[in-house]
Amino acid sequence: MSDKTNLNNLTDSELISLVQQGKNQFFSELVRRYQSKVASTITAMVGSGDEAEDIGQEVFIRFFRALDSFRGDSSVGTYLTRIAINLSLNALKKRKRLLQRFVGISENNVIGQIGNESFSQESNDAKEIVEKALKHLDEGIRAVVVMRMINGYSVKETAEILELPQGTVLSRLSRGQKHLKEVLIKYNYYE
Amino acid sequence: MNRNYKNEQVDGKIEELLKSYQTDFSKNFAEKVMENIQNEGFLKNDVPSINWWRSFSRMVIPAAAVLVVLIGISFSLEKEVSKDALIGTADLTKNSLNPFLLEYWTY
Repeated sequence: MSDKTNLNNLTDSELISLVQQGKNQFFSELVRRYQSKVASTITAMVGSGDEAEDIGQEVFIRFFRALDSFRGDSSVGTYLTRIAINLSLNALKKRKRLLQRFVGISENNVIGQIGNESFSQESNDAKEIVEKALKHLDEGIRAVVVMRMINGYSVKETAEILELPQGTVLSRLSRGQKHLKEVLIKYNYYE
Repeated sequence: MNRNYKNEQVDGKIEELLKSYQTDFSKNFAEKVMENIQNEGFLKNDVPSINWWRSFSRMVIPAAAVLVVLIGISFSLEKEVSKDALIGTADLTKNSLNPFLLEYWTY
């Protein structure tokens, strides 16, 4: 049996135990298992590019550092998503501050405005469409939409992860969808 | 305020679009994570950002560009002053001219 098959047979808890015993090489299997989920969360929040990859690196490094105290109260996926969403929100706040300081633009003036950019007529690339449309949402609303509609967490789970009341999650979800619909109509994507 | 949002309302078309969203990092992402973890110095020093080289280069490259421009301006001004001094049109009574330059170029 190959090493790869052996690794696939190990559960997350078993991998974590091995890493906690000092066998750091098993951590790369955890990274491989969850990097796509973390990538989707981060790029939906901040857009694709070097910044997203840097945040992704930081997510896994923080997870590695916290492994000794990881008790498994939540699943690895949820734990990583929580770190990813928090770091993405921090990055967006930092970006907003820089924008205000150096360009004098309030992001509130940018968010909500539907610009002149458009999707290419033939574009069926969901990734491009989603990323462009999500950019128009306020970060708080975006986080809820990403958690609920991209990551597939329930309203209750989304509320717990983002530490928000369920009512707030529902209202943000509703506003987010309404705004996304306006954006997609503008881009001729929504018939 | 949230009384209107007791039940979840989902737009099918948007839900379908967002569900199809999937992306990934570069192929060697996991290897990069392991490299960073194995970098003991980084872990010990608890540097807040792993992309220190990128941050550093973002500061150094613009600073170097500004320096080159300033040196260029300084050099061209110096040539202008020396030219005026040589053809005798420089106003030697003005304190604004660098006395060392005047002495050097009128010598």
